[in-house]
Amino acid sequence: MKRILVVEDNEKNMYLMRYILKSAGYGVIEAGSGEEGVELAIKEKPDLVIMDIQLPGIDGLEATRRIRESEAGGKIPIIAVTSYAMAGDRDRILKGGCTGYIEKPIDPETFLSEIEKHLPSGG
Amino acid sequence: MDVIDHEQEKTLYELKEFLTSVISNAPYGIVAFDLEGEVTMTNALAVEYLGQKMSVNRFVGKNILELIEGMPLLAGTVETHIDRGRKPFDLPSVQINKQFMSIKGRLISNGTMLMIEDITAQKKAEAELQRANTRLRELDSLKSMFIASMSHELRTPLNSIIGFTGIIIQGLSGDINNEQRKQLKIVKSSAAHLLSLINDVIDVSKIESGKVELSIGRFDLPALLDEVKSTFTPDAEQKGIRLSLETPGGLSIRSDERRAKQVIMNLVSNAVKFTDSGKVEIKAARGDGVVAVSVRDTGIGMRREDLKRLFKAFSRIRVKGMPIKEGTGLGLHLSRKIAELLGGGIRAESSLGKGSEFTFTLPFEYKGEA
Repeated sequence: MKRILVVEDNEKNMYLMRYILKSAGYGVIEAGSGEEGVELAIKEKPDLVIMDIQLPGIDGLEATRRIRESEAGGKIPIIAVTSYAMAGDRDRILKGGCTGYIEKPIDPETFLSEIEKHLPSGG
Repeated sequence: MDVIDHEQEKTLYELKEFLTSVISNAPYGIVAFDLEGEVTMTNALAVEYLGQKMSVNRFVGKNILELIEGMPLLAGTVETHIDRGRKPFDLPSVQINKQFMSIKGRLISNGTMLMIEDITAQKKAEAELQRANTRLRELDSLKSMFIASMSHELRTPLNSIIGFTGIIIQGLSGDINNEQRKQLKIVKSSAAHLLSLINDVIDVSKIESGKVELSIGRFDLPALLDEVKSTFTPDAEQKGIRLSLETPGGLSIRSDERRAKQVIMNLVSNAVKFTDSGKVEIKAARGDGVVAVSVRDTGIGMRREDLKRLFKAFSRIRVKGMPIKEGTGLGLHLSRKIAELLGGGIRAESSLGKGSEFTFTLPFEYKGEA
């Protein structure tokens, strides 16, 4: 079973993503802050990370940078979840080490296919 | 002394009376003094403006410098004027007691004339205007902050509404019947619509405050147009109108892909929205350094006078016998602003009942801020 780490501080969004991912048969690891996200990414070595960008404490970009710096994080696909207001930041997000981005609101009809584009096949 | 006869004396007297009457009734304070500074003529307004409590008659004959002793700026100017060559002068604002005066010195025969105008009310109005301006600037930045934070707060609950209705529609949390599915789809599309309105408001406020960040990169325009077409094909099919796309291949553009797409989406969305039969054609054509994307429809069209208002913020065009379509009236306003930001533009042609054609021109290469 592939495992996906979701870094998201909003309870309801977390529940939404967990629900969709679990329904599709993925294992879900949850982190409520950027710091926790970095820690779990290194320790648990998930197959993919979904990273909210606006987080309290260190933001998603900083968390991504720290994951990339760690040995384990070198190749993990990291999908940023951005809000519309940050549209101008897309370049920064991709240059900052994210593999792709999804814009809020999450649409359950397209969410999985967006994620699966970045999941290494097989396993 | 020359001897003057009775007639001449009478004429002189009448002339003096006339002059006094003109000066007394002038709406300015007037003081005339001779080369030595002795006041030769004045009026009641001047006596009052200079803060004196004497009669006009007592004022005459006194030295001007003594009368304005307490006003350093005026006294200094007049003293220099008398002692070091008489030249006209303007003092735009002299404070006398609590009043503000504008004082002009002009040369007259054998002396100088001061014209004094009370500008206190004007000064007060200016200060008032300045305060109002400062307040307006504060309010404007408050408005921008309000919109930015409110829009974030408004969007967050929509994320849940759209997400969870999506989950239920897909049957992820259990079976639902067709009626329930239909109703939930309405909930979801209304929430999505509300979200796009909020996004438009954010965009307008960003553009107006000059805070739009462009993300310039290279992209394939035909691929983008194809995506737009696919997005609107279901809507067009549902309405029974034909949506077609005609584009030359290999049109590589360096611009802001997302913003360009936003403009084209808006034009196609409008065309589909306002066309009930016939077709909507999207066409791309190369021009001189630009590509022209035109969207032509066989919809309701509009009158010439409506075309002028079309791009104004919050303007809604009403066509007789047609229900008002949902929207904010921000779409085309935004599209034009974005097109201009990208170095291009939008023009519109239309005739009532026959349809409309919107052409979006976009430079092949974004050239930076104009």
